Amino acid sequence: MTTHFNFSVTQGDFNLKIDASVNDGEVLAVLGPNGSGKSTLLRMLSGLQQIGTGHISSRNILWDSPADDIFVEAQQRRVGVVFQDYLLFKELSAVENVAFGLRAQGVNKATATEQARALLQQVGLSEHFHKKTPALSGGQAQRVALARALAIQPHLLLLDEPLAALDVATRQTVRRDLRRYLSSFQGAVVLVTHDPIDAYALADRVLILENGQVMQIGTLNEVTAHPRSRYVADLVGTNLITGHASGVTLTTSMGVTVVLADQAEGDVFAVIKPQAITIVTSNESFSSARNTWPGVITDIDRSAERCRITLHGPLPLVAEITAAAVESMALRVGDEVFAVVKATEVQVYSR
Amino acid sequence: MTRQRLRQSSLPWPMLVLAGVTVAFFALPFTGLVWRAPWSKVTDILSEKSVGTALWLSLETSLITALISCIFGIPLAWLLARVNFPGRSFVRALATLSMVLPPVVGGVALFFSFGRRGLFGQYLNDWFGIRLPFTTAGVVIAQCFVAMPFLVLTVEAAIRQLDSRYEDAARTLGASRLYVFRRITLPSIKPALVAGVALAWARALGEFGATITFAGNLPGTTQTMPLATYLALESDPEAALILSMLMITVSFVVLVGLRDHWLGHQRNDLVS
Repeated sequence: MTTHFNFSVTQGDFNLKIDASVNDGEVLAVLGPNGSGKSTLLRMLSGLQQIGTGHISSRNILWDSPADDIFVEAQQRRVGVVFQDYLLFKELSAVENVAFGLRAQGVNKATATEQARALLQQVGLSEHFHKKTPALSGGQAQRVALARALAIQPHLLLLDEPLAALDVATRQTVRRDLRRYLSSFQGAVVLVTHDPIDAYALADRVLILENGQVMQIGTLNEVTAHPRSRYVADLVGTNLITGHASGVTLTTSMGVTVVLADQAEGDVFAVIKPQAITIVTSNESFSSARNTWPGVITDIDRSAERCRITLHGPLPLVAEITAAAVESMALRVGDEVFAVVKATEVQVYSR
Repeated sequence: MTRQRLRQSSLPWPMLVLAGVTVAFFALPFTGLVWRAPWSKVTDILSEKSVGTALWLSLETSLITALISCIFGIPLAWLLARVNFPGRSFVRALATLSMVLPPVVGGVALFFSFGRRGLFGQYLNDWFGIRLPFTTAGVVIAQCFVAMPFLVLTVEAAIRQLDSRYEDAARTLGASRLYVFRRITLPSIKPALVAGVALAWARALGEFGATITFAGNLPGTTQTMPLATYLALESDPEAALILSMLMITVSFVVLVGLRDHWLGHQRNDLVS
């Protein structure tokens, strides 16, 4: 069983156009920068807002299809949502929050409370049942929010930045636990995040959303191996070059020539890993590397024994070299240097 | 402590002076009233049957008005705050018009609409045998017309200030809009609701113009305390003073009581 969504919606100047599906038992992470349309997507999927054109369906039931005049409202969809700042009801205790959905659907108080307690224990909260939610810690509140969403046995579970509100220390344990609950969850999961670590840890597939458009969708390996935008390349920490290939040369829009190891034709992407770049101070010495580009160092970012060097020039690049190399070459911000790359280190794939 | 004192001493004196004048402006009329009241005759005047009748009628009608205002005013406030329908600002203006109208004008409007020969009143009379003018029901209608906007405005502002995402969250949990309103919205606006009810009730208790125009001035049926006070001023000024004192006492006790009980320590809950 699958949840399909293929729709577009316009809000002011912003247009969101998306076509994807999630299988039951699968976690799809939606990654994108701020303002890419992630929150809008969640509002459409949860039924808090209507789509413009297209359709949303879950397990062969149409939830939203303007052409057929069908719109199932949020309260009638089997969708559980964990909101970014949880939105736990302040006047209610932890148990009452979790029991809320069951009570709203007419389950009697005793049964609802019992189920709520069981769910809270499942997500690892075995005390503080009767605490009002403002008194809970971030990690506890996250668990209550998850249990509350799961209580209505949703077909589709939506997680909106579920870990963003937590401090770094809590985030790791909560992420690990979340992974465990998600693996036992029967329905489909859409996880919205801007943190690639969440996607690595929790998702089966990744959808990259930028400016309301799907840039890429696939398994994490597929997406990271062949980034199709600057955003993804930055997430992965690699260099992305866009240009036109003819034979064994690629020409960028700035007119920079990149020598390739193999033949390629047409509009292409090329990636160069930062570790594959060598920095030299003079381009006069002979080398087997086919590519040498000039650049000015604009940043040197040191972490442990490695440094990431940001180069500004006709072809902007990030290179990763050892801290020892930086010291022996006495590299400084503002130095004019050359980036040297073997043609075999340039991976090309079509656009 | 030093810090506290520093802040006290740096209060701007023009604000203090002007605020002081305002307090005096509110306090002096009551002082005059208390000064002139014929305290020796209090028991005589209060034990008069007509006073008791008027007081009881005032309490009865104003409380019914408060209740009716809740039943009909809260749904309207919710609609104005949460549903974006065409003509919303027109409806809001209409529902609050009677706050700014002279009450007598409201009474005249009611008379020509719901009076015995009024546009709708004649049918009420012919079809159902219902007569509103010169009845206690007419007093309640007049009071509702003038007092309900206070509740509608207060409650609407409170709902508008609520973070609507909590209501969204409740809906995703399968709660109908009515259930969301009852379990999430209403508990969150409780202090504002109490304030709104108190305002509407107090306005109804003091209603004069619309009542006397639409419902008349029949002792026992439509003569409420404000009407009795006004009439007494011509025939028996000492009784008017005592009646005024009585109304001030009742209103003041209720307002102070409500403020302490509902509005004092619950204010933190409003902040989300």
